[in-house]
Amino acid sequence: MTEQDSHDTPQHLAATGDDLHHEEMFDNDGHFVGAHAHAEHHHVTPFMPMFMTLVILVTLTIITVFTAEYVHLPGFGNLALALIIACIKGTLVAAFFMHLLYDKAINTVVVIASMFAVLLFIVLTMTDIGTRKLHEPLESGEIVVGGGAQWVEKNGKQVVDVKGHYAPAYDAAPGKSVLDAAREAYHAAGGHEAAADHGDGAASADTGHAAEPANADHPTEAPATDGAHANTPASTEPH
Amino acid sequence: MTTVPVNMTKKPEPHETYVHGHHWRSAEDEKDAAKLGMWLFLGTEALMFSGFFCAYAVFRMLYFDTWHESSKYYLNWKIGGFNTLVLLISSFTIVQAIRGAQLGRKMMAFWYLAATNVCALTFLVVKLGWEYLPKIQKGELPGGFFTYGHGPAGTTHDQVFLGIYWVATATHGLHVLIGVFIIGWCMIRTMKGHFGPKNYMFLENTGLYWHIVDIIWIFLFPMLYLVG
Amino acid sequence: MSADHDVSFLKPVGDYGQGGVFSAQWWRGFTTDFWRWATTLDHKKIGVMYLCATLFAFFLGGVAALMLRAELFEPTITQQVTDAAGNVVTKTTGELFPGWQSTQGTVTTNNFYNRLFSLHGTLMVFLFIIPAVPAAFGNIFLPIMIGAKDVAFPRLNLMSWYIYLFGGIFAVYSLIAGGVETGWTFYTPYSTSTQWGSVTSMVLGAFILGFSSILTGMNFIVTVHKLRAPGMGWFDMPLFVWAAYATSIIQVLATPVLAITLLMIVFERTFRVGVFDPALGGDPVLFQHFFWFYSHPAVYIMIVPAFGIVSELIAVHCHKRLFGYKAIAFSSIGIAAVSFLIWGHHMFTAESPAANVIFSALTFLVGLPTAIKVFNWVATMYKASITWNTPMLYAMSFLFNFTIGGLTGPPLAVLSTDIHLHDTYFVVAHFHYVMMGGSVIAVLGALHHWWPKFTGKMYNDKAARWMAVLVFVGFNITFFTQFFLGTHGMPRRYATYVPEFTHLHQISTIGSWVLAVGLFGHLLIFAQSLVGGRPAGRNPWGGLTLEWYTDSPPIEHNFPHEPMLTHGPYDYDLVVPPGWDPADYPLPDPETVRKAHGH
Repeated sequence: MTEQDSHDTPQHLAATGDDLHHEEMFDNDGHFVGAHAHAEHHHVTPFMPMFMTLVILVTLTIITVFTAEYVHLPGFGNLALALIIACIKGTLVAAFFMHLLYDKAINTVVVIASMFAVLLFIVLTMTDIGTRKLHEPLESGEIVVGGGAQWVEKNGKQVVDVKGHYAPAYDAAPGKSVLDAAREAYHAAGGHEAAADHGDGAASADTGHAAEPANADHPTEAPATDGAHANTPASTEPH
Repeated sequence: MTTVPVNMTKKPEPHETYVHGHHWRSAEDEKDAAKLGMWLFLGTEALMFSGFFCAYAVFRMLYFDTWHESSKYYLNWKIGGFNTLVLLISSFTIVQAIRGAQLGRKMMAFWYLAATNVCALTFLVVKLGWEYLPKIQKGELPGGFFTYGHGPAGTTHDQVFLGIYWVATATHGLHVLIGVFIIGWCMIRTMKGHFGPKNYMFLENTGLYWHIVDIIWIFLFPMLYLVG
Repeated sequence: MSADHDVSFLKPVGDYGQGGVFSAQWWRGFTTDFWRWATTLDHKKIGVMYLCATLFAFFLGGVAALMLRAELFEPTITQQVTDAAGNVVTKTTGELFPGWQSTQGTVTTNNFYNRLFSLHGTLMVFLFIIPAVPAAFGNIFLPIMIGAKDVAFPRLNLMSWYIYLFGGIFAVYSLIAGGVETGWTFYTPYSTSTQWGSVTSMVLGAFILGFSSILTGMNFIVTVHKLRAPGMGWFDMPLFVWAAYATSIIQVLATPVLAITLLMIVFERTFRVGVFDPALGGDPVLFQHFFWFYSHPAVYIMIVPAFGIVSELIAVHCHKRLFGYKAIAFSSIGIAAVSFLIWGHHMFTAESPAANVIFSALTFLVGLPTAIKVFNWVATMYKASITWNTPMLYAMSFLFNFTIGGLTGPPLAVLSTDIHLHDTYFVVAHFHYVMMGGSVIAVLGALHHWWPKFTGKMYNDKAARWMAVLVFVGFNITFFTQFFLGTHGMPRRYATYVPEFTHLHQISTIGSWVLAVGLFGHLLIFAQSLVGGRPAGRNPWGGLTLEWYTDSPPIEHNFPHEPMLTHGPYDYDLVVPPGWDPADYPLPDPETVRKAHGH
């Protein structure tokens, strides 16, 4: 076909240029000339590049299978490698089989925009679900089952340290966890009888599940829990 | 360069019954527009499948080891790999079919299209006969219908794996099936002489559709069968 | 162009005879025209059909809204009272809707209320606002405004209309026959586990409607790229076209995700796939990500075309070059881009704090392009000779309402205040100020602006102005009170409330009646215009964009010859509007103008 002969002519370059420069398709009187200039410029698919593309694609497939099945990389290694190879394969298909390489730039813009949207979708969703554990008070260590707060000395005063958050001290014996102190104060105030009205509040307070909001609220008779409670983000409670 | 008619808008192509739409200035404009429209549609296809990819990514992250075991346990990479090769070859053959139309060689276009459809049908037969049927018989079904007892992990996580496997591959398989019909339609139109050097728009867009089906499988295969 | 094409696209061609509606000849004529419309590839006819269908959906959704407000007129109070015979009985007051027995069990007042607000939301979002501007006004005017004969793919356009019709019938049938209680958001796990009503078919209906939206979007993008009139560069396009283009980008990139989301719900309900089901290892919050990845951009599908309309209204009725054309054009594209980054702000109470911070920060970005638009519109009106007709009143109404709607956004984007305001009437008022006060008001403005163009008839502008004022007042009474309700803690989607809220709710309900009267008045005015309106002429308002160059109503292929662009869309200081007498339209000294604009 003669189309291929004209590939390097300036006319062809103008025709495949940015679609946005629409004005270039008009002469001085505003008459439409662009279409005539490249009316015959359809690109005939060549055989050899396409065949080589197929060969490379098959080779890459074999490499993917081989690395995934017989080469063990640490962590995300295999997954990342397989996805990188898949991306290369996809790009090859798009560029050669789907003619993006020979087509107008606007088609590539469409592809890039769609891929960008796909990436945004996946990455931002994973940002949420992947960082959930970081801030789950229980799993990130902000709350420790059984009470994670410790008495520490700061500026000469005894304070309760809950993973970096400081609360005013309760003047019980130092060295005990806040929950232990609370439990003692609770028992001293005859908490068992009082707790009967609260249902399972006292029972689970004994087992020490500080993560459950019900327990953080119930032994309010014991002043020691105020400090610990104030430092416990209420995030265990669904909003 | 061949001589170009001065005014394309008034003159229909001589050896084609096809005349471009009245609202276009030229056949070239119409072809470019059809292609741009097709690419936009392919973008929507990619975004639609991105739902599966997103769900996959999230659960792959949450159940990192379980999913790997599930993938190894439930899926056979040899079947997936074979199907990958079949689809890659079919992509190549449809490109050659378009080449046939561009060169005006009707039978070349026809037989390459036929080869493409043979590949597509092979894919479906392998998928149904060697994957779906045994899985249905064993009860390796999505989520709530899972009756295989406990999978390798002994948790519900491999049920989600199977769930995504089923919906993703079934949706992809549906696209393959639709492709079979469109390519069949292309074969008929080729024999009727609808496609020639100056009008192969429909064939080319069919090719684009078929390639996106291929690309999606290029991603699904390693994700589900190899490192899933 | 043959002569038989030079007739109005609305003109009937069937031979109706003289026998009236009851004669067989009339019906033969009617059948001819019916099939001509049903199989038309003309973008204007498809647009008019879309317009009728979307306005019908607006009517249905509006009736549902009025019923919701009526139920909220009084709180439901159940108390023990002593009746005349001295017996203590339980008495419930304030319930408007009766309960009844259905095949699926007892439908209580609360159930009915849930179904109504779901019906209202679904109809208004999927059947009215999303297609109203792009599919209805976009179809009628986008090709004309860029000087094209038709959209790029006319058959696809017709297909899109039938998909819309099919999906719409599917959805309306599901909503009315079975009922859906999930709200328009279909949140899991309720939507995947509830056995009530017809969630599956409703979700499929929305899925089908999504395809219609995608096809329209694709069509417009290609049309704008490939079919602009000779000489029309990108910055010679009217701003409505820019807005429709930006909208189409969002439609094409976001709607497929809605499709897969809704399909996943169907899969969950039928095959129990488990992706959203915690019992099977899935994650219900993942659904919210899926849903809002579409539905946040969808908010801009609803409002960005309204921006385009308002740009047109202000330029034409101020008879002035738009201030900051490029800024407005680029801000439309900017909004389209930013819309994909901020969906997480719908889920501040459901997602991780790190994601919250990211999404909250990104959300503020969208204020920039929106504010650019508002400032430019206001700057355009400065020292302009404004004609106070109905479209301009609606443009003003839009500016007022949309600014309130926009400025109540930041309190919802700030994490700390959002926790308090989440799912309250504050949110309801906020999005109604944007969707109703913004988009619907803009649709009404567009109807009044382009009505003379696509029907060829003028309406009673004086009466319409009064109705515009009624709509404005009614709207603000209805929804401004809801800001107070929200900040005081009234949660949304409840059929009743504590008696303290009674007064505010009653004011809001009365406002909804005023609004209804205004809208009904518009309907009557339009009906009167169709029957007895005087011919509008080509260019009643003095617009300069290409649609004012063709007949009213436009001829079948829009223009007798391919139009050639000789001036920009808003060159009011350089060009006498087509059809206007230069003596009535004194232009400033061209040299001064050229200098002022740096030509």
